[in-house]
Amino acid sequence: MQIWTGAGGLARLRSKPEAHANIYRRYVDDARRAEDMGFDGYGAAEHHFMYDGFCPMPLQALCAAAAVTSRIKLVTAAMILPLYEPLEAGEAAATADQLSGGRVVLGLGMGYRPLEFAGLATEKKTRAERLVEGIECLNLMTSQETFSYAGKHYRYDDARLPIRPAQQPIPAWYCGGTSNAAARRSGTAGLPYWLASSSLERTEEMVEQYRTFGAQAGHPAERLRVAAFKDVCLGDTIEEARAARALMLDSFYEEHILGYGYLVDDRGQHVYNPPKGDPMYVRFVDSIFAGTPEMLVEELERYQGLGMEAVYLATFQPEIVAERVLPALRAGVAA
Amino acid sequence: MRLGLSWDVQDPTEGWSALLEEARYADAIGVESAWVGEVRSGSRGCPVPAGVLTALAATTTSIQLRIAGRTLPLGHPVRVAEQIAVLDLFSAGRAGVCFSSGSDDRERMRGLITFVRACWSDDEIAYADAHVRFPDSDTTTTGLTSADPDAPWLPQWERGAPVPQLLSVTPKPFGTHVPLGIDVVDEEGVAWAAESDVSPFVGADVPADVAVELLHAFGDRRRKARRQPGGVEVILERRIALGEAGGEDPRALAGNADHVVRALRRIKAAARVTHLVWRRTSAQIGNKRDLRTFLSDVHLPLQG
Repeated sequence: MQIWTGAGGLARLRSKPEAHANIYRRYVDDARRAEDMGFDGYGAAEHHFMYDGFCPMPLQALCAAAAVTSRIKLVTAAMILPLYEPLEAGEAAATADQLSGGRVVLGLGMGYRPLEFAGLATEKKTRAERLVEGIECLNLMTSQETFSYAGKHYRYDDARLPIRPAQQPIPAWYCGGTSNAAARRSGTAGLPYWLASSSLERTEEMVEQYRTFGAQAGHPAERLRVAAFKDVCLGDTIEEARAARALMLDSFYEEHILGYGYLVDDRGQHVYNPPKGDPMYVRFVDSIFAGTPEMLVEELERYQGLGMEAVYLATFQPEIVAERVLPALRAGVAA
Repeated sequence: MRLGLSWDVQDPTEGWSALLEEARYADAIGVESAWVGEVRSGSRGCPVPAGVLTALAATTTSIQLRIAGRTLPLGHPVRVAEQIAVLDLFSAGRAGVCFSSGSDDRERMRGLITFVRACWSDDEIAYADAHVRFPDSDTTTTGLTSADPDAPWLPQWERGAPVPQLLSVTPKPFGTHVPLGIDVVDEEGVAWAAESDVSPFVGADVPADVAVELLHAFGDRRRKARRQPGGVEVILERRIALGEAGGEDPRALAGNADHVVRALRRIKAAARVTHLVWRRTSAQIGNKRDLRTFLSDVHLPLQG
């Protein structure tokens, strides 16, 4: 199982005011360090029009990371595919893939923030369908010199990318949260499924659902691959880890999770600014791993047992992961 | 007169690593700008020069990183503004762009350039023309709109689901003034660039006499409009064959260093060129001696 990590959007954190150019410089340094520390992948995320300057161009950030690394996978985690015309996304992906010598991995999400769809003039209500179609288009355009596609939303006849990628195709994952609909869509389409950060129990349930839907649609088991995001806060004690989690929530996650419609209720409706005691938000907070490095090793071994191909650790503490989690995890694998 | 390099690269699998290596060398020896153009023909092009330049940003320290021939009406203009801002942040203020004038609708492109500039400088804006609305809302009116100081306001994360009437394009570039140019190919383009504080760029495929005429006209327009010098660059791209006998091609400069110095001095004086871009042929890429000779025997004498 590969362990990926990355920066939280190259955004200004509330707890740590600093010049944006310094954040970008550190992103490049951290890519090099992530490779040196033994991580298998390094990522960049995407949001637009954010007050904190969140990076809107993840593949461009990965071009910078590509220049200072040689081995590590360069991962969009995630890129909001329905905000792009698929050929435009393919051009950016193929460019980064060429510059990195074939190390790009595309994590592709559907997005949820209304202002992003309004700002870039694309329809929000069709984003789920367009994510699946967009991934299918990317798979075709990055594996063939010319391609044709006839979908409900996208249509191409003998189209071609103006640049060939190094990998043909570029690996593309469906990042679909942990809703039943996501498991159904990705499983039915036979797309590799990258789950959002969630509790282990919920993750197990979703992997099972995904595989069931995939099998029912006739996809062979080897095509039904899974990966997961995992928000991680570490400490030598659980209390220390929870303090790290409180800092993570206060400096970054709280307003992003509460304010932009990330939380979805039982009727499938996006919820804006519920109180912090709302069970949906409490479930989100509980899904952030807060424990010791030894506990994280145990947790990741369970993910491994689920057949996870990769876990993306969103953490402010990559050094602790590198020193105390990766060696133990890999020793366990060797044993 | 500043010196930059641009490259004829046909195949990224073979050409990009050589381009990147030469650009890093150019950065080390004091070449002032690296220009990578947008190429969309065939399947061996460079559709995202910002990606190539962002890779260079991470491994160079002082060279300016310029996108050439960017087709602004392709795709969403906000993406263009974001892309250049991200390049500027990764390079700590070394990004610049020259837009292609290849659009049929010049008036629209000029509106888009105004919009892109506003994306970099202003918070909370709206823009609309016949093809794009930002944000995509029925309330967005034609042209550029800024925030009303008396309108009710909430922090972004407290606004909930409704789409705001104005949005901020973020992050902002590192520099407060991103160098911005346009390919000029005729008098009309020259006039607009001169009035709009946009730098004219004349590419390597334009014959020298036409290039001089266009850039000279730009200088005249600026003076008549009482524009201050220094606010814009005057950029000329040329193919140069140092040490080779001059050929018939009126677009290229060829000959020994002394000959090239004299030819460039004439062009510089006539067209008031402030930034010379040497378009490197695929055969020249990687020729370090050629570059060093040009810097010491041509560029240096032209400075004073």
